[in-house]
Amino acid sequence: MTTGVLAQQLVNALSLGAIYAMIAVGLAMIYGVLRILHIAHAGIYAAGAYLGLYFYGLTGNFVIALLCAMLLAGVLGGLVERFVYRPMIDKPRIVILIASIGLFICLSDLFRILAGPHQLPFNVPEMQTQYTLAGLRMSSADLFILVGTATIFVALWLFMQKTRTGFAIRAVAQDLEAAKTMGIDADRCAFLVFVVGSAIAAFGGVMVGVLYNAVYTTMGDMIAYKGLALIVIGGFGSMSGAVLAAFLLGLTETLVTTYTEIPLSREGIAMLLLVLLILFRPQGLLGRA
Amino acid sequence: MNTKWISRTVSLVLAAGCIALLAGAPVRAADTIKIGFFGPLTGPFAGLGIDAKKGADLAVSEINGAGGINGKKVELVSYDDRGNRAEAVAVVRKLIEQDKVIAIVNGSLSLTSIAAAPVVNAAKTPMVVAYANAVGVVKGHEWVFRWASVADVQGWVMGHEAVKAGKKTFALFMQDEEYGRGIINGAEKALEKLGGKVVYKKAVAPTEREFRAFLTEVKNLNVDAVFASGFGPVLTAIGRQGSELGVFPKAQLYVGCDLNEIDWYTGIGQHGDGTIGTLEFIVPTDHAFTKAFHKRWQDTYKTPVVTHEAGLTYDAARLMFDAIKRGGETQDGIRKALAATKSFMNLSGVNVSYTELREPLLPIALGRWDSKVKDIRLVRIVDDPKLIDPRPWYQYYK
Amino acid sequence: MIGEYHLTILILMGIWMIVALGLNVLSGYAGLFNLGIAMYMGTGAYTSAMLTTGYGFSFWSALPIALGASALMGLLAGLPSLRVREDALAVMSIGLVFVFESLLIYLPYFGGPVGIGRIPMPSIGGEPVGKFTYLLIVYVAVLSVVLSNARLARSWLGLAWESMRDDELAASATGRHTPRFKLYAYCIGATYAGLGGVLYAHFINYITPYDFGFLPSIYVLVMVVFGGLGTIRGPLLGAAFLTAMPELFRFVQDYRNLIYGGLLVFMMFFEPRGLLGKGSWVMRAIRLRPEKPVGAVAGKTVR
Repeated sequence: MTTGVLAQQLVNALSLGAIYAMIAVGLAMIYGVLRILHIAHAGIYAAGAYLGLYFYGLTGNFVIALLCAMLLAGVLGGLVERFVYRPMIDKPRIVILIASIGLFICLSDLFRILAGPHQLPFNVPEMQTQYTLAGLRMSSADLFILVGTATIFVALWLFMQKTRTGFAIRAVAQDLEAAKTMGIDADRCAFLVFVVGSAIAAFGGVMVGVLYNAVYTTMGDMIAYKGLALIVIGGFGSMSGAVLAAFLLGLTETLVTTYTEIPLSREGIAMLLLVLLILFRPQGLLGRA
Repeated sequence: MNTKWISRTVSLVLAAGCIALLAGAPVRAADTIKIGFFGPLTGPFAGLGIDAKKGADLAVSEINGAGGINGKKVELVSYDDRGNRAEAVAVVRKLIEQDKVIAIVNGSLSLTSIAAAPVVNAAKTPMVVAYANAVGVVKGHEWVFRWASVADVQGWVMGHEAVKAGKKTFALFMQDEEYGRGIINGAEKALEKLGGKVVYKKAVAPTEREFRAFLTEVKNLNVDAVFASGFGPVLTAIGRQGSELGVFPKAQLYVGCDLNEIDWYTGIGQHGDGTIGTLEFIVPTDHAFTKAFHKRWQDTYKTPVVTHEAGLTYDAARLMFDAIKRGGETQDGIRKALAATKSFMNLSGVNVSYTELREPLLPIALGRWDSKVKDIRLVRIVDDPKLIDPRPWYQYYK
Repeated sequence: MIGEYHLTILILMGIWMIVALGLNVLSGYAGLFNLGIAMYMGTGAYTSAMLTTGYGFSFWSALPIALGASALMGLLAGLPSLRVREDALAVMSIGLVFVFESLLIYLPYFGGPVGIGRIPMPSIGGEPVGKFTYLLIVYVAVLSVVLSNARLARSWLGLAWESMRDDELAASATGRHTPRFKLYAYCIGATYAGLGGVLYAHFINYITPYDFGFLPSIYVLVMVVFGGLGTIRGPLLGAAFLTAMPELFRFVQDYRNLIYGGLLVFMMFFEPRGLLGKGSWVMRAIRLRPEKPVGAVAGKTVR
């Protein structure tokens, strides 16, 4: 494999990793605060794609459509927390997990009922310009993903580290009881975490829709499982771990599926890494031991 | 009283209640001809099943508009198999036993039809398979007839065509299930025979959409042509991403019959120009019948695009009606009539004859995608029996 | 008169009842979160399918081997799972079932994504059995599983599981060898699931890796929780109802998945113990002695 090809593969892997990161970071936040495996997150991600498509059709402006999608997805996520998870918070974990699965199934079918079973194209001409830099090919969609991801992460980091609310969220994630005795409103933190995490997932959904020019009802399926793998690999609840895991996964998938004959699919690879990690490093890459 | 035994009885009673509810609809009076239909109407492959149903529905409304068969109206009883094998088995059993259909028009995929075929065969109900291409669906099942091509034939034609056009090195993308494997099997055998060199081969799942890594490697290998087998979304992804990366049009892309799928039409954008597909019919051609059909289709469904499942199912339904007219309203009569079909005109105006294997000697229409008009243009109809004969392919499948 | 269609549904119900009971042993009795039960079902199914189609075994001679293979798979999957608990365990089970499905798809030895076909029906006295006889075979199996399950629950193993489930830390402190009990749970649960798999393979007569992946595992989990985790009647009802559901709801066939998902969420809100779970509304309505809710369902909450 020449360096040129390797470089191109790295570029390919980068936007893949960025999308995974968008999803994983929300999941990790949610897990950190509520200890919930939020499988329905993948449904919000797909909803984001559909919303983005809808608003783009309505306004013709991609950025506005993206922001509207993120906003509405955030609202949707908040509603889910408030009306589905919060009432169940004292029930056994398995109950919440099944409710999450039920919600995901509902959402996926809702997309089919509202938008039809066919794959819908998400054609944004500005995102389709191809750039060739030093022999590497990228589309403007790829660049937008990378820039957007970086911006979101910086904003998120600032929020978590430099604001009071961010501090509150981190406190709740670390030790719920202690946080409550300090007077922190855990419910509000949970709500916020869902809103923010869902908005970020929607960004991922919209960008995937644009990148592959396809929005379809089952687009959340693989994300649901990989998302779980990512928060485990990253270290339950660790946001930076989840992001790291996401990029590593993007890279591993790209290289392994292209150049080896390992008898595993993309998902299989993610899952194998997950199993190995749980066995040998159960706290994940960056989790607390 | 023993709690456990009571509760177990309760649950069994509830289960029995479920069965009672399943006792099914009363059998209706025989003043209609009931034909069964099943396909993926929901689930990940719903696009295919829904289009197939459109084709079937149009055929039914046409024949009923013309007075039905022998004065009786045709009633299409359709069920959703969700693209799931076990469900397909349950559904055909329901059609046969509860709805008592006289015959079945199959609007489903290879993977579900392969599971359903033995059941239909054992029940001695004639079935015409509209668009599933895997050999296993028909092989060994006396009562199952296919209207579409055998997947391997498409690959065989593809291989011949490419070598004839001077291509020497090839990359293969194979959707890893019965249909995709069949096409690539045919293609590989052709390349073996004609001296083409395969330098890259990748098997992908039907849900795969990320091909850039693979295509980067293919670009690096500088092949003359790429063969791809898969459903609409897979082909569209390959076509698009390959074009974005600069693999096409430098290399020629050949794909299977799912070029004619709504996903390609709506998803390929300005890419994909010049892609060649091995199709089973083509709309519109210059034939009067095709033009008339196309007009009726547009009036009913408000779209000019006739996907291959839609067209094939339309034809399969027409074939079924024709067999009922010739053979009578008995299952054995229908089967005999189907087996005796020497020639039937498909919607491209091409006359198709049947072989003794219950497979048609279906000419393959080579189509080229024209991105300026966003449609498929006919290149040529391949009807050389040495190329389109489905019989030699049976030896590769148990 | 029972036609083939009803036979099909009844047989499938019986098969899922057996697999659901297997999951119940793992998650209900021993309290081990498991979202990948289908991999054990798949082990049984594939073992029997390959032996009968490729190596000339009969259904009956392949059966003990298939069950043994399932138990072994349970052991192999259980060993690494010993170290982890709760969420990590759940995710581990997901990971394992995905890897299992993936290997089946990509290793040609197992037939690849197109799976194994033409799996024969069992023969009695030289003749392959008819559907009705197969129904009897399946329900004999269901009965055996139910009876052995009931005995198990009352045995020393069952009691050990109960104490383990209620408080793992305390149980290990009193000197009981929890790892060993966990492994027993894996082996036994896997064997039941494997039995279901064998019956499935010979009935549907064509199996693929996708039949034994994550989604089917979730369906079984839903059956068990819907009916009542930790009971025997729960998985029986859950399996029966949820197998019949797609057929019952065929008149709204367009909305089936929506209804299924909605039903799940609804159930988790109003009756998370399961319809026939201990102390559930239905159970109390039938005015049976309202049992104190014990076990996996009442324990382990989120915070």
